[in-house]
Amino acid sequence: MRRLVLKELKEHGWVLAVLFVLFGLGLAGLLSRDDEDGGRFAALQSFLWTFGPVGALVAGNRLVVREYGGKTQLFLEVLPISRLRVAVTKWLFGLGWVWLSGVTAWAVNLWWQRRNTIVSWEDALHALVPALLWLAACWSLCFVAGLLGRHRLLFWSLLGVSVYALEEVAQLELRATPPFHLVSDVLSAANDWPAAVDVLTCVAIIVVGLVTGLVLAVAGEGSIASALSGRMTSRERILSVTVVLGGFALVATLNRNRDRPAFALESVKPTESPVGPIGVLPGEGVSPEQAQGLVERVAVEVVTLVKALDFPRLAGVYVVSQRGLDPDVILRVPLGEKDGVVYRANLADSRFDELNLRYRILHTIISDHTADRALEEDRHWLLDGLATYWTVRGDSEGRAMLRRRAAASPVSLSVESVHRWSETFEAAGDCFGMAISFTLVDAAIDELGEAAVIELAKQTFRKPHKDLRDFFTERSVEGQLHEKGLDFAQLVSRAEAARRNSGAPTDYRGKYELVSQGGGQQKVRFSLERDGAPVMRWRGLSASTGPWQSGVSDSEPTRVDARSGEAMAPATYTSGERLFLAIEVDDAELKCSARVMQAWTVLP
Amino acid sequence: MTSGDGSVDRSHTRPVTDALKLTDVRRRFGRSIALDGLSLSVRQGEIYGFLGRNGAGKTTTLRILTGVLHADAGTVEVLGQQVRRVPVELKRRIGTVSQEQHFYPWMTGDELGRFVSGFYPKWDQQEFLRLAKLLDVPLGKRSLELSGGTRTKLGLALALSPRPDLLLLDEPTTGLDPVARREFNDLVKVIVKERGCTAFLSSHLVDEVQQVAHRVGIIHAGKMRIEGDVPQLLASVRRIRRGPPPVLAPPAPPPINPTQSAPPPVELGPAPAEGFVPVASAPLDVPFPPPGFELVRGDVYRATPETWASAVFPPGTEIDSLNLEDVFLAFARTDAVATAA
Repeated sequence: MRRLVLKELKEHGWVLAVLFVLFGLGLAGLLSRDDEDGGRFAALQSFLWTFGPVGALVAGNRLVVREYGGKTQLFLEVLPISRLRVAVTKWLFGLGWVWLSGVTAWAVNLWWQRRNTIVSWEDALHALVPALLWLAACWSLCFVAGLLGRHRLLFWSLLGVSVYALEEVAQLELRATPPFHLVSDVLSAANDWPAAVDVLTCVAIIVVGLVTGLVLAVAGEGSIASALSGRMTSRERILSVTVVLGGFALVATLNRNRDRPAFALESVKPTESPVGPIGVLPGEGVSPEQAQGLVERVAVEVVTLVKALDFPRLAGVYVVSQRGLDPDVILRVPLGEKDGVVYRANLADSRFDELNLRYRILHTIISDHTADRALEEDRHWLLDGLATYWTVRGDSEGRAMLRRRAAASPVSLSVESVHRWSETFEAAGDCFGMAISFTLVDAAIDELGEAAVIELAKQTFRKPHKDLRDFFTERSVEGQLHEKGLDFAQLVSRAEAARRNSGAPTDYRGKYELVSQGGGQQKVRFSLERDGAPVMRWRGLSASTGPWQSGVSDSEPTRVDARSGEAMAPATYTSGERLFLAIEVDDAELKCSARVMQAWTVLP
Repeated sequence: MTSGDGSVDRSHTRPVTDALKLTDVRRRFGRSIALDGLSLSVRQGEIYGFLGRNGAGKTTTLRILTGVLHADAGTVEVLGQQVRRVPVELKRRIGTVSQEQHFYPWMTGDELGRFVSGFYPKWDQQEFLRLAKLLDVPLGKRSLELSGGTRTKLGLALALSPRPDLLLLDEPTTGLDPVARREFNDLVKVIVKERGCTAFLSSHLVDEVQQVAHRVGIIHAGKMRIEGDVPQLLASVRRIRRGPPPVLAPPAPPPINPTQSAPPPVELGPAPAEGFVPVASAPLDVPFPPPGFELVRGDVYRATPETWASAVFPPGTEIDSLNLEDVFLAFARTDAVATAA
């Protein structure tokens, strides 16, 4: 055994040394932010979460995978040493490897803490014992995985999928679950021994890992481990990828179909509508009456839409008024594991566009129901158009306003622009984008009637596919229109004609120019005029994007509020950057923030 | 043991004990039968040539003997001990050289020697150095940098340095050039002679086995087809050619001298070709094959040398002596291929 240990040391010693240096640097970093994290052994805890498993993985790869994959174990087989002895030696060596790193990290952490505080030996052991158990469990798993040879990646993938499923589907808080709980804040605080269940779980993993590993190494006269160490056949590769992707798909499906708890605002008593609670948190500058009025308008639209499209009951719709926001900014609140639709907007501002808010609520309800499939390019126009149409369904003035906005839009409708709807909507901005999408749906209703368009929306905005057959039998929006006797190109053409006939196009003239700052730095100067005269109040938006980005989110661009005909963007950009640029103006006639110029450019 | 012309001196004294004895050994891998009742015996102090085609079961036999595998059934005796699987203690008395050397690529020959020595109490470092020098193995180079032939020679040096009682050689010279092969085989012969150890040489190279081995066993489809000393083997297996029917000679003219003896009544047909064993004349109605003969394949028959000597064949029959390769082919060649050929 001594010879074998010496061999392992000589073969892997340099890797061990390199790892020690890297782990040392990592530990130094963890210790430096130790004070912020709290807990006397917070650095050790972080070390165990990150470097512990990495060390075990490297050990498994070097000690086991390399031996079997390199076939050098066939050399060992003919030497007078038993397979069991070889396997046990490797397991013990690996354990020593991971424990050495763990004990070193613990000792350094202890020394670091003792410079300023008193840490008793008992408390120090409170941290050391779970650390050693955790590392041994990690190593045992890596040992087994190593003996699985070419299937180890599948093993790790399935373990990953399982952990993901436990966390996402079963809603298990992993850090509070054995064995992960062993390296939780209890270790960091180091004021108590680990819970018995954590210790027992860890010991069980260690024993099961060791026994399974030894069985794999010895059973079938070592042929199992030898056979597993070979390269994957293409059939095995396909099977592995399928299993892993299938696992993730299954978990994702289960997760999507899982009923998540409904979000509720504690400070709001929502109105119980037939399709779910709807509430508004008024905030400063918004009276309860105003809030109630908004609730009622939203409720009417939500209830009628949900019923028309046969959607299930909603978890809740809430609007939170937030004074600090710009009046044209409407942000959806991410709810994490809760279900519901919550928007933040500055309801108190006189320039706040309520129509836009209501449109967004309906838009979100539909896209959430379809798990975002309503946002796919071929049907996005229908989603936008229907959501807009619903906000003015019983409002002739509102419809007239939307038609005027559509007419003013610098972006026109064509089959190509509708097929590239995301780009078209972004170029138009919310105000014009909603209006031109309304024009499309309005034209469809003129041709087919509202009931037919609602039926079209019901078919298009169904829940995600239940099985693969749906994918093949699904009819496209254009196909459905065709079946109803309306050619899509004809619809677009009529909508465009209607748009042009509804009013005058906008006469704003927005421009931008790049101003060199030297050293490859550039600024963007925006200018806006109307009828040859500079416009005084407007906004210039700019955002630097990656080459992979096809659009920018609402919160992304930096903005300059202009008080004259020209304004310089606050940010400085570097040559080669790809910029999104736009000019928006609060138009009194159109009563919205109209995007009168939009462009993408790469800085020279 | 080696005569002046390089052939093996097969008249060496053989101890009675068997260094290896396999009786009715069976081993299967799933549905595939690797060994199907294999029996063989290797006497102490001899070089045993284990001949067989690829897939005949040679490597499985070797792996059983090295302790890598165990037999499903049958008995295995190694160096006098009956074992199910060769234990570690016994492995210490066995040296092995495999077809492929799976050494640690980063180890030098020297380091490999030190590593392997730790597993053998009887390791002779001086002998290792001597053998490495003799075989021209550079011990300072990493095994990764050695040629295949040099790695095999290093394997032999490693196998011989613990002074094993049994040397197991699993097609060790496959892929070696003729010079390296000759060096390897010569060393094996010398070591066996000097130390009195036993060598079990698995190979499918008939010439090599004929040059080196005292006794030979031919395995086919997991069964031992024939086993014995090489001369004995060649005397036991021969080809019988049944020639054209004998031609009756016309009656001889009456002797001028009535006192002259009468000619024989029957004369054998064409004269035997060179290399054919002339057969004594026999009555036309003798049975074929004669009793005690076993058909091996085609026209090759097997019988004890005594049976061959005493057998009576029909007139016109010719007996062809075979070399070891012909014997091997007769036992190992499949009928299907033979027919196609």
